[in-house]
Amino acid sequence: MRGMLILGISAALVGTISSAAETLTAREMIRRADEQMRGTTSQGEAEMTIITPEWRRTMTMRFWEDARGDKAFVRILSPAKDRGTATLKLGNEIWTYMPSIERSMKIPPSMMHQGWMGSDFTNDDMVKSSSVVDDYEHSLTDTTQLDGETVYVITMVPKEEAAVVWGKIVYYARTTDYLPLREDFYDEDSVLVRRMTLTEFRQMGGRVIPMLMTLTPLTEEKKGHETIFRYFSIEFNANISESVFTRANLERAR
Amino acid sequence: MRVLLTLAWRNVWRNTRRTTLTIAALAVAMFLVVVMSGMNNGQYAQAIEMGVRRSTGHIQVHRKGYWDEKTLKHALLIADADTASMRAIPHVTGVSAKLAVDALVGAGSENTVGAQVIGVAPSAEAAMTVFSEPIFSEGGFLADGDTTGVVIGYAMARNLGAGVGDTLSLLTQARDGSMAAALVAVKGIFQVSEPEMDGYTVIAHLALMQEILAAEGRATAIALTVDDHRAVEGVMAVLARRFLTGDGAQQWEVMSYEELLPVLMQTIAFDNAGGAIFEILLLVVIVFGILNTVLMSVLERFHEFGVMMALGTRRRTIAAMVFFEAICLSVVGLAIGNVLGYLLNRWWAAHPISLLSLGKGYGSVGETLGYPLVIAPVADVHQQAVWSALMLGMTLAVVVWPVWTAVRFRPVEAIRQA
Repeated sequence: MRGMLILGISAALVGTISSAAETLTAREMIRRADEQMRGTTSQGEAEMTIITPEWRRTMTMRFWEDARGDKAFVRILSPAKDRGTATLKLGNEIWTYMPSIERSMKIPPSMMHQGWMGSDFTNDDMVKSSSVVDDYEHSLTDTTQLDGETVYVITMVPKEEAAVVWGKIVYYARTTDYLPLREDFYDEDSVLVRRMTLTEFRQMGGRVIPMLMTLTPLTEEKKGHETIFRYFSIEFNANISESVFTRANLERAR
Repeated sequence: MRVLLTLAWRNVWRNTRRTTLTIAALAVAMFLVVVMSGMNNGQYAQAIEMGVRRSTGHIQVHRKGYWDEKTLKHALLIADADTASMRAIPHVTGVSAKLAVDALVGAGSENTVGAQVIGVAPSAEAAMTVFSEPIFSEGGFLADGDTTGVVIGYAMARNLGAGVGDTLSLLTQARDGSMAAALVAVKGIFQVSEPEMDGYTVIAHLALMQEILAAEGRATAIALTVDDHRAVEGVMAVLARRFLTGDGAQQWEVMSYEELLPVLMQTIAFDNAGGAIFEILLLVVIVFGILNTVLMSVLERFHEFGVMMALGTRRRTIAAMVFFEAICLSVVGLAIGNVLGYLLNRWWAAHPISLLSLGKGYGSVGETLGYPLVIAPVADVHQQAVWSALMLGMTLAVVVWPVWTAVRFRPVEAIRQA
């Protein structure tokens, strides 16, 4: 009798889940996309171009990320002037190493909203990147067309207790693998303040990921600014030595 | 007219005691208002002077847009000829070019703080700021050749755990977008009792900042001081003529300390309004004293007014006479109060009282708050004239009542009223 009841409830639950979106919950879509783009670990080479009305700079870098351990390491390879500059992220903390003075410095909380390496990505973006799944409430709000492709529109509102600077994020996911084509970031007053556009989806490191990420601030003071991030190569889920994510590695001269 | 004035003057002195008391009350009130305003003026002047000498100068020249968005893209290209020609303007006592940038400052890798680093030419900066004063608890200001030295505030030194001789690292972004870093040595630790300066400001050498920021020959601001703050407008006009016209390639903006120290100016305006309300209340009370005196003198003279009217004096003449009586009282009282207040202000200004002399407690409170440490009033004749005119106006307004009382009746009625 009791077993029958449980069976009945389970059946009802299974029914709601499968009918919710034919596919998955919004949260699950975000989780899968996040997993696909980051893996448990990733490493590779990339190029970042920063465009402002006054200057334009391109730097290449080698990066290592341990998504599960919440650690990352980036070393600048070029231009010569910045070669050797490195960033280490351990949990909520970031250190920057400057080869010209052979010193590393921890970024204080007051400077977390400053641009990383002068880009439009903030130090905070580096630290908080793991929280897209856990720190937000996700809801599938719409299905629309974006650049001729059908996309799910997922609205992500930060949970009350989450330390998130955005008022909400609107995420335009591909219907096949839920990878984002675009992410719109709104501030607490619901003003659209920046847009991330993801393009050039290719097979690399055994999975499909966007090769090109363009971050465009949309505030008046950042008019004419843009940061373009392009992967050259990426390898997923390889074993990365723990010694990579250390202060000693940060200050290793090269 | 003359007769009427003489008559009014004599009428006023028919009751010597009452008149003396009224005039004395008015004189004391005006005296207090003048001295209080004088002390406030002195305090404001010192607060402004302190703000000016701490950092901003009386006047600053920037590239247009810098004040709204303080970034290196607005750094001016300056020639030595520019600063030299500014120094030659009459009343200008100091000219200092500065290159300021936000940076990460660290002592060791863990102790870091976000701060503004200001590159200055040491002797030019010291000549016009507090850095020539004994504000250093350790070490001293930079020498002209000290290109790798810095001075920092005591609060930053405490937060970083750094002392004189220690090495700090600076990390920021250069004008071309590249990352810029430098190692510098702490030469001095200062206290100017302003949280922003003591906690978040590093003073470095202009040459060093220009080099690491890829900003050779550039400055974000040129600060000027003048010998008298009343000369600010004149100097600004000269600067505007010389730099705001001409080649449009470089758009300059010229700002006075009133724009450079907006928080201070607002505080002063607010404080001034509070003082003015108190002073107006004081004067209103005194005006009622005058009203009382004039009304009493009218009430006891109905018979006299009736006789005057019966003899052919016109109502208008009697009204004028009563007005003149009130004016006599006011003018004498105001004159005494103004003169005494002015004299005290002048004497006190020449013999300022240092709060430090009142005991250590007062001095340290002033120091912590960044308040002026000296009571030295500043006499302001224009301000006194405004207060006096206001007082006279209020008197004339309320005296309408006794005047109307005096001329209200027909002659026979007036004689009977008495």
